[in-house]
Amino acid sequence: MIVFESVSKRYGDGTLAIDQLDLTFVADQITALVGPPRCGRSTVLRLIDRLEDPTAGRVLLDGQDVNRMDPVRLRRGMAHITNEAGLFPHRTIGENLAHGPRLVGWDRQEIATRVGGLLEQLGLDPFVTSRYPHELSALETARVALGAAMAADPAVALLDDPFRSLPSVERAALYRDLVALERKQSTTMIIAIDNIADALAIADRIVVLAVGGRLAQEGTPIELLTRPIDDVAAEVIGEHRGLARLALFKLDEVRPTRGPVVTPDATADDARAAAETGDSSWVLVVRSDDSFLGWADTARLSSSGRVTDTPLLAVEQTVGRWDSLLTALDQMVTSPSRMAVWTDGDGRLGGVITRAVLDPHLPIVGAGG
Amino acid sequence: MSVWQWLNEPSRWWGTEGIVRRVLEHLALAGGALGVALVAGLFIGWVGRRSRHLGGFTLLLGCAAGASLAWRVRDVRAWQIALVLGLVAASPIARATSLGFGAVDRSARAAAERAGMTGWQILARLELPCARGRIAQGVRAAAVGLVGLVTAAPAIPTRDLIGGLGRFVVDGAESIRAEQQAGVLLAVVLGALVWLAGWMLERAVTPKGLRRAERARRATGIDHP
Repeated sequence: MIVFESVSKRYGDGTLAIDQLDLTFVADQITALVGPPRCGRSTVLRLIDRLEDPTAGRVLLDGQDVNRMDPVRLRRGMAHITNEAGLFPHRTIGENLAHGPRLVGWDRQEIATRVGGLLEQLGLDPFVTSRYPHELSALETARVALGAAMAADPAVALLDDPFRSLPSVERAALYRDLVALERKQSTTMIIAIDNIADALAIADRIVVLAVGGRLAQEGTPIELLTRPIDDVAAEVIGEHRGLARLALFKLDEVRPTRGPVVTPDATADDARAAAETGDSSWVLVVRSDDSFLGWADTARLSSSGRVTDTPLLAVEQTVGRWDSLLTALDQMVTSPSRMAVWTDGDGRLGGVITRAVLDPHLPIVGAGG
Repeated sequence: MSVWQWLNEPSRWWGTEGIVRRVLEHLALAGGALGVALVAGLFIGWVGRRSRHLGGFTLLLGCAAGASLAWRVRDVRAWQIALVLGLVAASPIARATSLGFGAVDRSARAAAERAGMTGWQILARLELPCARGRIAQGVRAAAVGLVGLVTAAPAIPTRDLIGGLGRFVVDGAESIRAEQQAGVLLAVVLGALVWLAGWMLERAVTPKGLRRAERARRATGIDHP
């Protein structure tokens, strides 16, 4: 656990980077530091491994003031990664990965096992170990830098927006690897991050800093999206908070009801009754084994007859259990039925997602919670 | 008598005043001076690795050392000549050393610090390996220069007798031009050989990764991100 006790940091040129900051970073969690430029994100990280010393206040690591600890030993127990990979240009990738463990005295066999494990976790080909840093792509370089920093099982990982120069798709993949590493090694991870969407996706807890290094707000991603405490927090967290919040709920935990579903032999009256439970005049027609036939519009049915008398509209897209409510909402607004179809693994119906399914997860501004 | 006829006489190669003996004397004096140049150049280059005035300082030092010879004229010892030549030759080594340390990847040094390496560890495991190829370039330039300078050393009036290939030039006098020409020719050949040896040293001490990176940089014209 890392605790900031009313920490201030003023640099030599007079800039006040951190102002009376009280913070607690809980062990085995990912905390994201977000905020506008010049909010002191990097300084917070640099104060923890003593690349800077505070001008006032204390930084405690597991109850001990870091300023009374030897900086070299302190840093060997921590990973600190920035946007600059900083790999040793004269050493191969294998040697770069082995360097951290060697520094803290692991034996040869342990190091070899560790390097092999890292390559696999980071999705790197084993043959890169004999290459040199200048021969890697930007993505590979970022992966190796991450691996090299995490190789010696640090208890604390400080990440200063390490992937900011990568395209968003590659960044997302790296953050997934990072979360997996954190879960495996149970590291206290603090990540200064510019892209709020990335922060919301990976962090257990988010700390919002304001310009001048003041604490604006801290909380879980859902808390922050529901109630930003002031304008600074609201601006950092960004537009479309209601939608961003929906992205945090996976369908797996939402468990939608079955909704307006009928079998092919249903009468027009049955279908109209079923449509009442949905959001529009449309009903989903499924066979008895729960495979889809398509959407039927009950408004176009004659009073007698069957639901299959009208041409059915094929189900073009579906959502699965690992998709979010935001994905479901996107399909709802693009479907003529204004509803989305949830399938289980083998393409059978799980349920129809209606407004009623979303409602409990939509925040109501001013209503609390 | 032509140079070739002079060189073709086996008796001129062996013996106390033979070519082989003179080459060894030449290398001993240049080697001693190079030792001085290494100590002075590495020290000055390391201390002044962040200074912009280093080049001027080492040149002045060499200049002062040379001038001091004139002061003690006719009373100079061989070791003093080696010392002065060494200080003159320290300049390229000092310059190469400061350039070499200055060219070490800054982001790698910052990462090493963040990883908890001590100053000495950073010096031994990152800065020296990355800088020693460039330092070797300076040593090579100094060594070749010294081979040339040592040829002129016998012309200095000294208390000790200064050997080396320059003896042929100084002793040859007007009457035996072939001997003088042979002395110069041999010094040039020796300089070329030292140049080659320096190139091999440079190659041997430059880490493979840096050599490959340099080749890639030359081929593509861009630095790696």
